[in-house]
Amino acid sequence: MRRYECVVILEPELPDDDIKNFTEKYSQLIKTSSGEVIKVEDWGIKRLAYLVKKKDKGRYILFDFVGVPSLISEMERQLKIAEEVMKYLSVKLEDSVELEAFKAAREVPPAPAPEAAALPETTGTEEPEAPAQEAAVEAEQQPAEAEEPAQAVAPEEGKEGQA
Amino acid sequence: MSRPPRKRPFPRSKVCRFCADSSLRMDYKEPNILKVFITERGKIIPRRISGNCAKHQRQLTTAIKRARNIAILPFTVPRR
Repeated sequence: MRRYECVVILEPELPDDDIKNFTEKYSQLIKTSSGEVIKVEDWGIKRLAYLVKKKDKGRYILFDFVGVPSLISEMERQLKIAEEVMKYLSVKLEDSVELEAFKAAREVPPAPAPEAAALPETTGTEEPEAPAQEAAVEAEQQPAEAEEPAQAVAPEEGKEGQA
Repeated sequence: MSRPPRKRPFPRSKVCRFCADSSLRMDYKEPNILKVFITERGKIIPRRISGNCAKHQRQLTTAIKRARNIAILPFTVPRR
């Protein structure tokens, strides 16, 4: 089992219902091929750095999941066919992951409640946009919490360096 | 007669910024960090100017290339 991350750029005009269907469809695909979804994030409509299919905006969706290598080829095959997908990128995060460990961690509710409340805004703002995955976002625990504050601090550091 | 040393056009930083600050994470999803290491035209700034260590420069290069792939960073910035 490997941990992957897949960023998909969808057409910006796509209605919210279709986005929900889309995320559900691929979450389902991951689950049926004995994988596990860790989180699904909707970054909203963002400006693209260059034109893709003659459009300068796109809706970013991030899938973070555990699965077998054949899942990626199947997922990319479907993403290639889907017309609403403008671009996608899959990245391998970890080489060998115990699926059971993830499942076990998910079943245990996040123990340090105050820590969860003190989560930076970055995760908080994304939750309402992906209500179906809210449980997943909450269940995804310590590792993500350790990552998020670091990322929240980092951009400012970069700006200082520039100035 | 020795000529006075030429002034460098870039202020170079001697230390790798990622080594100095472990909270600074390299991620292709963070354009704000990566933007510091590309030129106005979208090129990756070489190690001799940015001062990054080899390891981090390697990671940075892949991160920037990934970011370009999903339209977070530009491949080129055309001159107007």
